[in-house]
Amino acid sequence: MKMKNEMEKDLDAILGGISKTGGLKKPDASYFEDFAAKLPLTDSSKSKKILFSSRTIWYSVASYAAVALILMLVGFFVYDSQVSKSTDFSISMDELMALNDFDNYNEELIYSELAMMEDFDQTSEAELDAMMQVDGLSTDEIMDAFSTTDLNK
Amino acid sequence: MSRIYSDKEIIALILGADTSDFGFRILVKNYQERIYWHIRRMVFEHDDANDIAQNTFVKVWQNIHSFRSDSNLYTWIYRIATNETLDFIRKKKRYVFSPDGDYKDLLLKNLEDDNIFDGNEIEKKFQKALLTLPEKQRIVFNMKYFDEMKYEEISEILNTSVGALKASYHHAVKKIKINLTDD
Repeated sequence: MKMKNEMEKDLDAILGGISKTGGLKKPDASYFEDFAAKLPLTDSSKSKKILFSSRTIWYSVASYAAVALILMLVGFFVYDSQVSKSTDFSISMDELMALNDFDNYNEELIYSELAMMEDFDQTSEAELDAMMQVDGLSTDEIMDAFSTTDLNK
Repeated sequence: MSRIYSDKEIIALILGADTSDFGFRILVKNYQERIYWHIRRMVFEHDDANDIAQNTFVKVWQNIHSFRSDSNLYTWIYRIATNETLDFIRKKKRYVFSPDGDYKDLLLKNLEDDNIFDGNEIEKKFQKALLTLPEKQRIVFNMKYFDEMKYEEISEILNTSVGALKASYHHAVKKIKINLTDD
């Protein structure tokens, strides 16, 4: 203890000329007179009992609205992508080949089909009627005759 | 002729419905200068010290209703001020990206600024010696040397044992002496 007192005395001797401010410049004389008046104190800062000020209510309303809007946009984009997926009529070359079985087509088959079409084009309306046995039938009768389902049932 | 109020009287005034503002103004008047210099010695710049002192008293105002009357008002306010100051220094250290160096270099530069420092050469040398200490040791030294606080009071404020404070102060004095007598 004695040693510490001596040490402090030594320091005091060295720091003899040091002021209480330690050389830091003092603020203006009016600073401490006005300090209390300039403190940003309000009743709301005094009490923490007020959990939601009017400003925080607006903030929360705005944030809820923003979240709702984001959810709506996300929902719309998900729905849109599903719809566009289901109405996507594009078909790949492989799917087209599979549907039409082009690999198994040969030249003769294609030509014979074309010939059939030509023959069909050259058939007259009367011949067509005769082929289909629809001559003299009413539209309803024709419809019934060619219908795959029994409409009367 | 203004009356001197004790801490208990000040708290009673603040807690009173009609005397709250009056009581708080007395509290500020009683402590503003000591708190300001406690902070200023750590941050050097007046504007920074003013901001921290304001924050300190705003926090006192906000929490005075939950203050335990068996505690010492004086040490409580000092504790808030110390925490605010150390918090400020921590933030400053994080955001000072000066090419010339860190926050301590900034404080050293402040000693060359006439708006901040107007002391003599011994005081400048002393401040430079203080800046070689870690923040907490600097605070302990300031409280003991400038504010002439007892170790028990410092212990309550810094939440550190009296033994550790004595050792810290001893080291601080030793380092300062070496720095001052170096050349």
